[in-house]
Amino acid sequence: MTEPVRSPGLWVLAWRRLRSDRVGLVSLVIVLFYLGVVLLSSMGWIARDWTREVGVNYAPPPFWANDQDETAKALPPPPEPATPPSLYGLTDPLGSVLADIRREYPHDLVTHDLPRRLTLPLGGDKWGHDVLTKLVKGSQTSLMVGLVSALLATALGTFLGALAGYFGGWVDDGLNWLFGVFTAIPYLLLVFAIAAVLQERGVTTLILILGLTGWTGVFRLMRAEFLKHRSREYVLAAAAMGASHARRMFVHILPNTSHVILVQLSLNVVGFIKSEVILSFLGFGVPVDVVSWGSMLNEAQNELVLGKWWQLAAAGTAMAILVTAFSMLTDALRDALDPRLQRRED
Amino acid sequence: MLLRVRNLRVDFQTGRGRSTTAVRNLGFDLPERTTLALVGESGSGKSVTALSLMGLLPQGLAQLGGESEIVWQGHNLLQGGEERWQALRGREMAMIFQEPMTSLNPVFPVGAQLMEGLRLHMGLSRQAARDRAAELLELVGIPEPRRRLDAYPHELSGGQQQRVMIAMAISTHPRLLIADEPTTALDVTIQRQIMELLMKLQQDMGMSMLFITHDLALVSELATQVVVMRHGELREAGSLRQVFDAPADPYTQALLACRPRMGERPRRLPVIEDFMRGATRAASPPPQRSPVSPGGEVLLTARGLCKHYVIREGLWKQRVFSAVRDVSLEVGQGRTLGVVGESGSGKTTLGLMLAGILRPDQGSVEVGTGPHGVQIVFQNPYASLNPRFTVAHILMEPLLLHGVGTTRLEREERARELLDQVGLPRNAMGRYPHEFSGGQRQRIAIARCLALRPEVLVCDESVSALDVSVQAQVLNLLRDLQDEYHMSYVFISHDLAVVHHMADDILVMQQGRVVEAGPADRLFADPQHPYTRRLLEAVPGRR
Repeated sequence: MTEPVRSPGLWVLAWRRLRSDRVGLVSLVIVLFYLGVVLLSSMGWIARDWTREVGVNYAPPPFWANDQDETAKALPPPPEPATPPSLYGLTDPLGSVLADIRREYPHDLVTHDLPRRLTLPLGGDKWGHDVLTKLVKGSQTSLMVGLVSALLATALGTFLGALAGYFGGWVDDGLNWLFGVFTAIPYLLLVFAIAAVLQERGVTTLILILGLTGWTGVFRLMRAEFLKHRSREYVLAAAAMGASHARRMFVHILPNTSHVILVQLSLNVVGFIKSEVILSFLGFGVPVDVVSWGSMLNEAQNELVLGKWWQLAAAGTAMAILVTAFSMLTDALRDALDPRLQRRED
Repeated sequence: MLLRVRNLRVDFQTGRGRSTTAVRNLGFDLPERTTLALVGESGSGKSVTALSLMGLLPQGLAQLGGESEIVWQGHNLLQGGEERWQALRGREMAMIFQEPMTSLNPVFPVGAQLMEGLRLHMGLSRQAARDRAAELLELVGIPEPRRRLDAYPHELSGGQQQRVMIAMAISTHPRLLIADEPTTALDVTIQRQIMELLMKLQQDMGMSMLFITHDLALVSELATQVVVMRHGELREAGSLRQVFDAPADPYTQALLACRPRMGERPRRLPVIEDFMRGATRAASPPPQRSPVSPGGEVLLTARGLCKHYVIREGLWKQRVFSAVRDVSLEVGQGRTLGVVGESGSGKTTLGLMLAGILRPDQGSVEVGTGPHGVQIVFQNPYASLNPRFTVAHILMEPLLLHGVGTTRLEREERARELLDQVGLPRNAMGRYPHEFSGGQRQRIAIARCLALRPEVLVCDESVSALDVSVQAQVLNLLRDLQDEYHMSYVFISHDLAVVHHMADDILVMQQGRVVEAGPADRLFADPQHPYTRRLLEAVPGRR
């Protein structure tokens, strides 16, 4: 018997084309780097202690420190009061309890504040948090929100678009009506309305808001794709063989639209990262105990008045690089996955 | 000599410094007032040749060889600049294309499009151009030409659109008319009218015509000179009689022999390999098929099939369009029912209903062994195979769906057997459809149908998109499979010669109705219905 031949599939061909696209490849490396950082940070291996106040207030980055006056000195940790302060003759109701705790766990109540540093690699914020670790943690939040909400929105849009395009008729009419309602309301207004109704602020809420409002673009495209493919002969042939509706939709048609889905997904990631930043900046985003690029930029508007520009620069640059790289990668992916280009090359 | 072509070579850039040669070493002469046919299958370079004569090759992508010569009345056009082409194009040489619908601008009335060329090239005033445009429409046989000037392209039928294109082309009294497959997209009866129009115009106006086609039967009717091309090279050139009666080149011989002819019904069609291997024209005529295959029990019965579509017009109004009206048929075991008709006759809708893909509005389809006893092979082998599936995946899908074979290995073995049956190598399993040629893809599609061991196979224009030489191979394959498995076929086609070759019984459809039905031999010999007669008379190459 002859040796079976395995031909390169679409993804292998796409990877080959992507590899020869230098801009796309560089963008891919940058995006992978960000994803790596996010992974490490979510595993708790880096930037776990971003809340520690390691520097002086508004510690500048080292190269900026030279221009500053030397008034900011390393502050020694405040001495622990030897005796409890005078209570004006009242007895402290918790005094005995505290004394017990102090006796049993002598180390827990000692503040181990190290001497605060005068400069930090990317500067410090109002409380002396290290902007670098804050940035890493913020990237984790922003990217997580962007990725998960984009996945949610794309999955929702794909599913609804598939239903509308494949079945047509009243299913299509109904879903189009829903689509019309969502697109008729100005986007930010819709997002604010949902945020106001949901009350609870948090990363999950944010993901839900973005995911549930952002499916419309994907829906429109996927509906058109399914409309186009459902009467293609290969789908009719599957029908003649007795393939069910679900099988025709998701096993036969869906892989043929994967390039559209992938491009939509990455466009959504970029869009939602920016949306998260805007929402957090406006105070509708992540809660106070979570840091994201948006909350960093929100803080930065007050700092900027004082001339402390580094937090703004750090968050802004990190975001700009990622968004640019992601957009470039999307472009490269679109080229690499276009089946028409593939045919020309054969 | 009007046009002389020598050493024509066209290369196409395919990216990253690579290129393919579309035409090499082509040379022919086209005298005044002559029709020359450029014949070839897909990829033969015939259309590229036409474009290079007009100077319309895509710039940057295509490159003409350094020794190429295109001599127009003694001047080599390749040495002049672009201005020379500009002066000739649309004035001295004109071109008509295959698809009239895409060649006309949909947002302007046809009159305006006709007048544009007249005012530009002939310097006519508005009123004079309008008068001339009406004259031209009359000349190409459009009724009520004055009124039709204000019609938009979509208001005209396909044949009328092609007539308008011809009117545009001849409006400047060109000396050369290049017609690139001008009738391929049209129905047989319309094709006949357009052919007659072109021949008449060529005579009356004293033009030369370069007629590009894949259909040798058409050539025999209108050309005096023939050039046969294959893979970008000239295979044979000469006068019509010479090429048709005593072809010297094996490829020309094969092309002439592969095509089913109305007069005879051989058991098998000769295929191109027979000739290319060096054997000259088959010495003895191939054995004729017995007039009617033995009929067994009836496998497929359809009674009173109807299918309507509701078309929305405006907001409230709707119109019911009947695609198929009250069609009944029976197909016996091992027999082939041919369904013929022009576009819009409802033959495809009928096929889809027989295969169980469309539900009929009225009537019923009964199959011997249940709904999947009928499988369907479509027209376009490029669209009927899922491009993301490997051949193995395509062939194993029906097995998986119907629980044939218990393990993956068993199913793979069955898929390999299917490949054997349709004459494809077993190592095709891991490949994707786009790596195969049109004929091979159609074999894969047939193999997929065979997977469920159907009793009836519906072939909806299954060989229409294939080149003549490949068509013969697929027709032979279908015939072999029928003999081996005693399947029944419903063979749907607009091509009467092919249907005549394949079918035992014929159903003639017009506008959703069956207008005539009966045994093939009787129906072709003695058609009763006027529509059937019209169809048969329109078949090219019957003289």
